[in-house]
Amino acid sequence: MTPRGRDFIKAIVLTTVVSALTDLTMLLALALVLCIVAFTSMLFLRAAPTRLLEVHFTPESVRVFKGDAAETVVRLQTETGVWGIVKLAAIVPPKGVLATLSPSKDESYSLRLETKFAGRFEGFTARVELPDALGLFTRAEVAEKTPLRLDSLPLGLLAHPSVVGLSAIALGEEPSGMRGLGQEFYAAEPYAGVSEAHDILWKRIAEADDELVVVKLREANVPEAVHVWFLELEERGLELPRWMDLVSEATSRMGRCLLEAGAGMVLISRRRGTVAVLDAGSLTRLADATMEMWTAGSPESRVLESHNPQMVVTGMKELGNREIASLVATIPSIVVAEEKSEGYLGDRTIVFVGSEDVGRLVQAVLIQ
Amino acid sequence: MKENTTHRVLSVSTGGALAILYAQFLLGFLRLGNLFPGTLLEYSILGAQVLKVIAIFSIQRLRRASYAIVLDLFSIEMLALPIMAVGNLVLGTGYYSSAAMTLFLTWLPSVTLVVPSFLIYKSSMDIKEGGLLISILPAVAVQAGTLIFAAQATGRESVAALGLKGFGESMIRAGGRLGEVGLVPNSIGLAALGLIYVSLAFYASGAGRSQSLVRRNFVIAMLAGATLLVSGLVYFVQSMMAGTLIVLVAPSIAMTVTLWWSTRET
Repeated sequence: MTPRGRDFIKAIVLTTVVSALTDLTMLLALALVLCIVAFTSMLFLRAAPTRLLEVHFTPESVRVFKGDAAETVVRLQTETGVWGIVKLAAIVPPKGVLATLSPSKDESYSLRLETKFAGRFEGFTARVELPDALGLFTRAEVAEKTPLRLDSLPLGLLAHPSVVGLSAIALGEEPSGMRGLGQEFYAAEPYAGVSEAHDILWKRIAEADDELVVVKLREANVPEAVHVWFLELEERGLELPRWMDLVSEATSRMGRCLLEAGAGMVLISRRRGTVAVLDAGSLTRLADATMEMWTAGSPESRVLESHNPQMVVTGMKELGNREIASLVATIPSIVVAEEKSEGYLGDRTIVFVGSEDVGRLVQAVLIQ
Repeated sequence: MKENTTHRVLSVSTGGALAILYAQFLLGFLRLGNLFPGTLLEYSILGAQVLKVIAIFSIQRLRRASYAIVLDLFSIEMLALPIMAVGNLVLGTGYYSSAAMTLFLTWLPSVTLVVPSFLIYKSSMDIKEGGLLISILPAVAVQAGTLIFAAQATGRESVAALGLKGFGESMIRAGGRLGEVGLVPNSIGLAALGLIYVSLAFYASGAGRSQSLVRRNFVIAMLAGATLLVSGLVYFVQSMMAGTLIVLVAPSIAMTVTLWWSTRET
């Protein structure tokens, strides 16, 4: 019932009582007529067929860093029918998102979205109200699936990564731009007594006018891409926003460290029977991957055999699975704990609760 | 027609209908001639009401005040009644009780003569500004009932009465006989009530609000259909039994309860 409906009902009751006391048949009849009209109008509203409602968003996909507000314009496309205006009452967001709807001048609505969690938020529903002819009652209709998607990027993408010292013996496919023991020439420097004899640049010394002995410095190599497995077995329910936030932060921090070291990242997201292989070889693709990992992938297949895990990101609840527990025990891993945890899972595992430095773990992977 | 224009038209029609009832009452009062104030007390009390109306019309905050505040202002003289009752008990003389009775019997017609001028204006302004139904509908019903009753009281009951006090006594007597004869408006009164009926039906149903033509026509059609139905019901019941009260009150109450029950928010 609308506020006008409540006013109407109270007024009818009071008018009936007053007219009965003053014995005015005509005003008593008026009260009864208004009752009949309201009743008929309500019956018509209830009997009206459900119309197909379409809710359009411009843009449909919004991407912001977590904590920032995003705005989108909402338009309702529906058959207005004989009763005229259909009102958009609310956009019901998924858990963890605050949605504020305000009408604009041109029959559209402005929707402001805010969240303090990182991750991909989908499943916004729209609540639409169909009024009756008298404006006394409304019937609520819900558009279950709307195309709106909020990507809340983790702040780990902005954080300056901790310095990852590359191992001098690292071997791989990508030049790192750092001194090391790869095959490519990096720089030349005067001989200091600790250089290998086969690194002395004899030709250059012979061509030079002075007698300075120079040696070749080699460039360090890093792996072209590190394969990171994200493993999720358990449904998080109401804790999903917090879980998404922590995993996104951990993954983005790890990705930034790898990118800083010159390596790329291939993120293999395995969530409850589905798998998605996501390339995170640049900062933009890393941002995409930290969002895409939350979208359902394809059913698990043999494609996984070509992606042996080099790092693992999983949750505390997943450690109950023997296979995952043994993987975490042997491979550098980040175990996300939704609650504060003092547990120790070995030197090659970080229990991540929101702000842990993952640089050490990335270094361990690059050394391998 | 725009919503504002519709509200203005409904405001004028409702105010006009109430003004007709008021004029009918005043003409009856003037025509009799024997009900004019005859004593200083009657002049004083009637003058006080006139001054209050002028003051209320002059001050914007009072003009916009609620019905309760306005009626409180007009009832200020009634504060003397409990004091007089105490005086009567303490001193043990009948003077105070008769003085209190005189005060009340003079005040009642004075207020009935003067207050409608402001209440008609207020109801009209409320409709013009799109006010709440709970404020407008009962207020108009009370005013219409009171004015028809007052016009009825200036008839046979008041022929032998004298002064405002006499008019007050006539009103009390007429009120006592209301249960037997009920309110019987004459043809002018019936026309005014008909105008009030149509105006309030339009206003309450929102037929004048900004909306599609189909929707407006649907509302008007429902109003017309329901009016025909209720008219038929009233005619049938009046030809079959004496009173129509229960036939109209019971379904109204039952329907409002049903509406409230079926649309309540859980």
